[in-house]
Amino acid sequence: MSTDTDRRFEFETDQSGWSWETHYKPVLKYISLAVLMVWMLLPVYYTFANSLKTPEMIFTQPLGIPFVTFDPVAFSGRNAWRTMWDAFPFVEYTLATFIVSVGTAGLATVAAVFAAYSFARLDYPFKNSLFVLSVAGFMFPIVLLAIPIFVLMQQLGLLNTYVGMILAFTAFTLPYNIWLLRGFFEELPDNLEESARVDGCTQIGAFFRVILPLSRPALASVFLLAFLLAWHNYLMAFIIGQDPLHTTLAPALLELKGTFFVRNFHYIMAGTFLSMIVPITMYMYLQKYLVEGLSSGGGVKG
Amino acid sequence: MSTVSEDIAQRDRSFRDRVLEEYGGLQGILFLLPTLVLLTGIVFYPMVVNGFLLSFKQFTLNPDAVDPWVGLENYEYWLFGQGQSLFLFSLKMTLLYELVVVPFDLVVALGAALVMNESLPARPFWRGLMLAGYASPAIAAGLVWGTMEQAATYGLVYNTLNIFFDIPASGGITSNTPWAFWGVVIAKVWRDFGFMYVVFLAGVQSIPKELYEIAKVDGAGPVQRFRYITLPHLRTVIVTVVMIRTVFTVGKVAIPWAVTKGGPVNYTTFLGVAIFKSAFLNWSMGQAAALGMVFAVGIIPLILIWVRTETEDY
Repeated sequence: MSTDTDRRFEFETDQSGWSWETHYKPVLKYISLAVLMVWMLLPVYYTFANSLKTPEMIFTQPLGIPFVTFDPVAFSGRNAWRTMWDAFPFVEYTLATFIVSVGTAGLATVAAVFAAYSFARLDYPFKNSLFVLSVAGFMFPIVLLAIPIFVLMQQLGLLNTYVGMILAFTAFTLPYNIWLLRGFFEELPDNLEESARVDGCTQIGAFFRVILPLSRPALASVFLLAFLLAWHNYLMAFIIGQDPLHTTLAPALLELKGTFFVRNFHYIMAGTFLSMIVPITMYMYLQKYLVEGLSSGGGVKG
Repeated sequence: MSTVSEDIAQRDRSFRDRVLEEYGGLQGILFLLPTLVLLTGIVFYPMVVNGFLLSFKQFTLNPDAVDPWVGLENYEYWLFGQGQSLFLFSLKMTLLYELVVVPFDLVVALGAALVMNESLPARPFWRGLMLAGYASPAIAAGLVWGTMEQAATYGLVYNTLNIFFDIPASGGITSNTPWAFWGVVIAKVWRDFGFMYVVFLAGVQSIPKELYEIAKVDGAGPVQRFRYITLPHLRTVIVTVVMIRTVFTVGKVAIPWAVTKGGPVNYTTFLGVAIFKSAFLNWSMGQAAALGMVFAVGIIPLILIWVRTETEDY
C-alpha cells in the first residue's frame, strides 16, 4: 500500500510531470475566464455594434466590428443614433428615468435610514413584528403589488405622473433598503452612541452626529441599489406610465420594439444600449460599494 | 378652581414624566414613522383594500363606477372554470422554470465566483465585467437575447444551436414550443446570476487561506478541497440565496415578457406573466387579483421561512 507521501504525489502530478497547481489550474482558470467573458459580453457587444450599422449590414455581418465594416455612404443617411434622437423622444425618456430613479432612491434611503436604525439599535414594543411587516414587502412579488398600486394611483389621479411612479417604486425599494441598512447598523460597535451620550448628546443627536457620518458608504451603496432597482423596473413603470410620454426607458423600449420592427432594429439596439450602459458604467465604478452593500447587509452573513 | 387646574398640571407633569421614562420606546416609533406612513399608504392599504377586496369584485375600467361584487366567481374562474387549464399549465411551467433557472444560476454563479477568486491580471476589472448582466435592465436583456434567438442571419444563438439541434426556422427559438422555454431561461440566467455571484464571491473571500494550505499538506486534491472546505463554508449562504432567488423568480414578468410575450400561445406564461396578462392586457383586474391571492397563499410560507431565518438571531 502507498504511504501518505505517495498519495500526495499522485494528486499533485501525473506521469507527464504536469501538476494541478502549475499546469492544469492556470489553463482551466483562463479558459473559464474567457468563456464567462464571451458569454457575459456578447449581448452587450452585439447591441453596441449593431446600433452603429444599417439593417443591411446587420443582416450580412451581425458580428462585424462597426468601424471596420463601416460603409460611410450607406451609413451617413441612416445613422441609428441620430434617427433615434429625431424620431423618438429618447432624451425625454432618459431624463424621466433619471428623475424617477433619483426621487425613488432619495425617498427610500431617507425613510430607510431611520427605520433601519430603530430596528437595529432601539427597543420598543412589537419591534420584531414591525420589522417583519416592513421587509416582507421586499420578498413579495412585485406583480402582486402591481394591481393594488395601479388601482390606488388611479383613485388618486397619479397615473402618468412622476410622483405616482416614485411612490410605486418606493413600495419595493424601501423594504430592501431597510433590510440592507439594518444589517449595516447592527455591525457598528455598540458603545458609539453611549460615548456620545456621555459627552452630552441626546439619542437623536448621537444618531445625527455620530452614526450618520459613519454610515456614509452604506448610505451611498443603498442609494445606488435603489436607483438601479428603479432604473431597471419595467412592470411598475409600465402600469403607472400608460401614456408613452410619461414613462421610463424600460417600457419605452418595448414600445419601440412595437413601433419599428425587423428591418429597423438597429433603432432598438441603440435604445437598448443606452438603457444598459448607464447602469453598467455605474456598477463598474461603484462595484466595491455595491458588493459590500449586497453581501454585508444582505442577510447572507453566514 | 385652582385645585382643578393644579390637578391638571399634576397630571400633565406625570404624563410628561411617563413619556420621558419611555422616551426610548417612543423614539423608536418616531424613527419608524416615515416608513410606516409610506408602507401603509403604498403597500398595506392597497394590498388589503384594492388587492384583497378587488378579487371578489368585477373590475370596471371607469374609476367613477362602482365595481360590482361577484363573490367567489373570480376564484371559481381560475380553480374550476374556464381559466383552470391555463392556471394548471402555468403552475406546471412555473415549477419547471424554477427547477431549471435556480440550479443553473447557482452553478454558473459558483463557478464564476471561484474563477474570480483566483489571482488574475486586472482582476477588479474582470470582476466588474461579470456584473454586466446584473447591471442591465431585464427588459434590455430580454430584448437582446430575444433578437439573437430569432431565425435570421443576425440570430446568433439560433444559428449556433441550430448546428446541434433541429429548430424550426419559422419563428426560431422564441416561437417554437420546447425552445421558447429555454430561450427565456438563457436570458434569465444571463441577467440574474450576478446576485448569487456577488454573494458567493464575498463568501469565498472570507474563507481563511490557511485552511487550503493545511489541506494541501495533508494531501487533499482540488476536488476534495472544494468538497470539504469551500462547500461547507458556503452552505448557509447557498441556502439563503437559493430561497431568495426562488421567491424572486416566480413573480418576475420582464424577461419572459420581453423574450416571448408569454408565447407561443401560453407556453411561457408563468404565473407572474399570467397575472400581468390578465390584469393589463385583458383588463380583468378582478380575476387577476384573485389569481394573485392564490399565488400569495402559495408564496407566503416561503417568505415566512425566510423571515424566520432573518430574525432568529434576535
